[in-house]
Amino acid sequence: MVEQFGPFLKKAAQSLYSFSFALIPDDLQAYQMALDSIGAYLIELKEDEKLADLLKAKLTPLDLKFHRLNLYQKCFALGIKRHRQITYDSQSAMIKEHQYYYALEVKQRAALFLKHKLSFSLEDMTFITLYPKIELISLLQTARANITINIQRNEDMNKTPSSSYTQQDRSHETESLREKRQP
Amino acid sequence: MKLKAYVKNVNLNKKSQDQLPSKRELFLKSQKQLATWAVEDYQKRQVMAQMDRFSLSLPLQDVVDELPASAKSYPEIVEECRNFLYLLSDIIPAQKPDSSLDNEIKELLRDVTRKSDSSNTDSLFDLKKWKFIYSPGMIAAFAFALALYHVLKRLMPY
Repeated sequence: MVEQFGPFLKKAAQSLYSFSFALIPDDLQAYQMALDSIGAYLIELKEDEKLADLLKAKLTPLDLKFHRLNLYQKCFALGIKRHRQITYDSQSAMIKEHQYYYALEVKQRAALFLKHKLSFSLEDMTFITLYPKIELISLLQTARANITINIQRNEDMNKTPSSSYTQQDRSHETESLREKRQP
Repeated sequence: MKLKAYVKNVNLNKKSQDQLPSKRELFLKSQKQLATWAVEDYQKRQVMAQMDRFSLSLPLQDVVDELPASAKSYPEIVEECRNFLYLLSDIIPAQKPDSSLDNEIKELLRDVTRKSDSSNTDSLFDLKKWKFIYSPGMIAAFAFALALYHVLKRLMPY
């Protein structure tokens, strides 16, 4: 009976989990949030009496995109709400590894993740977050600026006379990162 | 006379409209100010160029043209943007997929569809199914039947 929607949901759940984790860095909470956002969307579809048709229907790529955006919208709304209520271990390895990212506000983190990890366009991001485009650009800019400022500050703190971290070093570092990425 | 003054006024307004800077000009002007402010600051300029290229979809060359002469050249800024993107993709975490989610989704779907099936069997008691009673057509039919009843009652009292 379930033709396309089921596999689509499974695939979406994986990326939703990743997004949830970017908002709330806790395995269990992120897992639950991904499930809750899918559950909430399914219930909404059921209330609108669309679910039964959807499960049988053949979906076009545009339909799939629409449902994907809706799922992210639910997840984002839940993430913003739950972030205020949940306290998580700030000393965990994951947070330490991505300290610059988790030092940002939750909205900025969401904007960065949607833009740079999931490659959503600004139009799609306005649909997901319900923020105007200009606010999203501002969030992205502040996030990027904060990251660079924090990196700079951290480098300045760690800087010793024998091992000064120069711009040239930074470019070498990015070179090595790129080499690592290339298969 | 009045017409002359009106035409003159319209022309004046048109002229002032033409002189207004476009949004694009305003943006480039603000970028120039930003660039002057950030020209010595490697990171800030990097972020600024990144913004123009990737967020606002404005051709990077337009912004570079507005940069002061002491700023870096076009290919260097593009390179910096790319480097920044590489850095950013490492800074943002990507959690590995959890395979147990698949089973949960399967169960969730089964639950929701089972509930929707059971709601179909109880359709007689579903108030939504009886919505048609309140439809304008039904109300009109009921009013017509009532009127007919009264007319017939008058015509045939016994």
